[in-house]
Amino acid sequence: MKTKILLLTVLFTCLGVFTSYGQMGTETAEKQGVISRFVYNEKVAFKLDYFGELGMHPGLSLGTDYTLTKKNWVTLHWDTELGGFWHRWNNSSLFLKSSIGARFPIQSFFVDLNVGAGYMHSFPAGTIYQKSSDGGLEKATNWGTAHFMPNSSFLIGWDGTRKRNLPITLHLGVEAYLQSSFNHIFLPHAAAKVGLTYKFKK
Amino acid sequence: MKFLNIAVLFVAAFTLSSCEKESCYQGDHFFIENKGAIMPVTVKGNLASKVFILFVHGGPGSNASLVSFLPVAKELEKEYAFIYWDQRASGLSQGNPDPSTFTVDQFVEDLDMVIDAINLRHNNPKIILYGVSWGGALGSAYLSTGNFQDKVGGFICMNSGHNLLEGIPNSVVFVKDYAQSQIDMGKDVTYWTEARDWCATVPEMTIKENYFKYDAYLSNTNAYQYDPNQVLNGPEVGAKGTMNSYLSLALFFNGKYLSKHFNILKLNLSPQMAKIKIPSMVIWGRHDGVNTIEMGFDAFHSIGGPGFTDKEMVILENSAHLAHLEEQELFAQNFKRFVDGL
Repeated sequence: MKTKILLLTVLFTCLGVFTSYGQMGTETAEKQGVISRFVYNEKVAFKLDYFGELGMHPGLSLGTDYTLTKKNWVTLHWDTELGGFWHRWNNSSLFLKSSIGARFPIQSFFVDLNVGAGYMHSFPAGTIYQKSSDGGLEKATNWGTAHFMPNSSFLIGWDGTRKRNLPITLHLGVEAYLQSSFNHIFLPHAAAKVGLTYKFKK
Repeated sequence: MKFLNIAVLFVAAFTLSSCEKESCYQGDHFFIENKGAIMPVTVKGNLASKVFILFVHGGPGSNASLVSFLPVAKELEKEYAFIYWDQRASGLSQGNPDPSTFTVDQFVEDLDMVIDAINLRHNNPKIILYGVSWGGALGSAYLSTGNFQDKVGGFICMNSGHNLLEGIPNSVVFVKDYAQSQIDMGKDVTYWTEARDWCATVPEMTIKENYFKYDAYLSNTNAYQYDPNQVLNGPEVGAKGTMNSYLSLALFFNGKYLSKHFNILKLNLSPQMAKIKIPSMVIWGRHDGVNTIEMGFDAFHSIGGPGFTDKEMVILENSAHLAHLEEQELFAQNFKRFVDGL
């Protein structure tokens, strides 16, 4: 069951990336390279975030923000992020996650609500000992543990595209996510997010 | 592009400024991986003393990590090194151990691995086991298994739950007497009458449902803290400290699954504690309603069996189950006297 959930999550996440790529305009497709078409797609923005687990444990995430639809009062977007954080003496984790968000503009500012799922791989942050075949102790290889990572976030931000025609948005907020399975529970986490999105223009 | 550069610098600066509170990270830290559990071990305090106190936490399902932030622990860490080990499925432990591993034997095996790892990393220091409540029971189980006690220089057994088979019925009597005292004072008479009458039926306490009902009543008595008005010196770590240390929200969520799936209600280690032949101190709160003073005497008499004299009993007269917090100074004095005498 756990494996199925993780597979579905990875599929969902990959779908986010491929959708971003697949829906790009086709008129100049033959003239542009794959990467170029992706980077300069007007629906695609790139994201960079400080991802602070419990606020203070440093991490980063990089990703894409793909605009599904844009109205005057809301923008629906599909985000995909790859990132990680380091919680000293606790764990280091990498994650790949995808989320659907609704961004509500308030003049140059916005409120952004997101919900999604992801894959998380956590590594105990330190030397690990295990029993050796002779009954003693030996250092264990730190392969880490796979987890399902449902998540949601609440962000507020400033949208430079609205009044200043700048290809950038800035945001900050909190992300709540769960880590499963972890001692047979969904372990809640909170993270601070501070970051930006940027749209490349030719 | 200028905006992008500024923003990237902003994010980078924020990341780099998120440094940790260094004092939390002084000492040693590693993990023990065994049968699906990845258990953190933190060593703090006076490592140069070569006297290592291995704190075995209670529960099952509590933790050692938060205990390391208690003022009394910091006081004792000036003299000795303290080993804080979060047991499987407890505290900051990671992994996803199968419930079939929730056995006393498995916890004993885990504890032995912690001791072996300490010996490996710190060149065989003198190790003293200090177990509280369930930790006292686990320490007793460990020391009475095979030759494990050869690895340990002394045992501090505090308010131990080593014999719940006989101990919980004593605690039920405690609840009944407390209920009667509340009725006599006219406090919440309906609730306490119900509690008193239920306890008077002498319910079978090896049945989980009965245990949970008793436990709900117990938590409303002064079984844990003799004087409910006393302000105890709890862990010196606030929200900011929690965010800026190795602690995590797992402290509040781990352990619940374990406590529901690890049934120790029939535990009775008293007969096998006669095998323990290392210097021991039994320390108990006179008014402990969880593991009552009768169980303190039971532990004292059981350790080493008849004729074994290298043991002592200390009773903290104004304390209950949280005796190390309720009479912190007296506890620390006795703790140091015992350890220094080894």
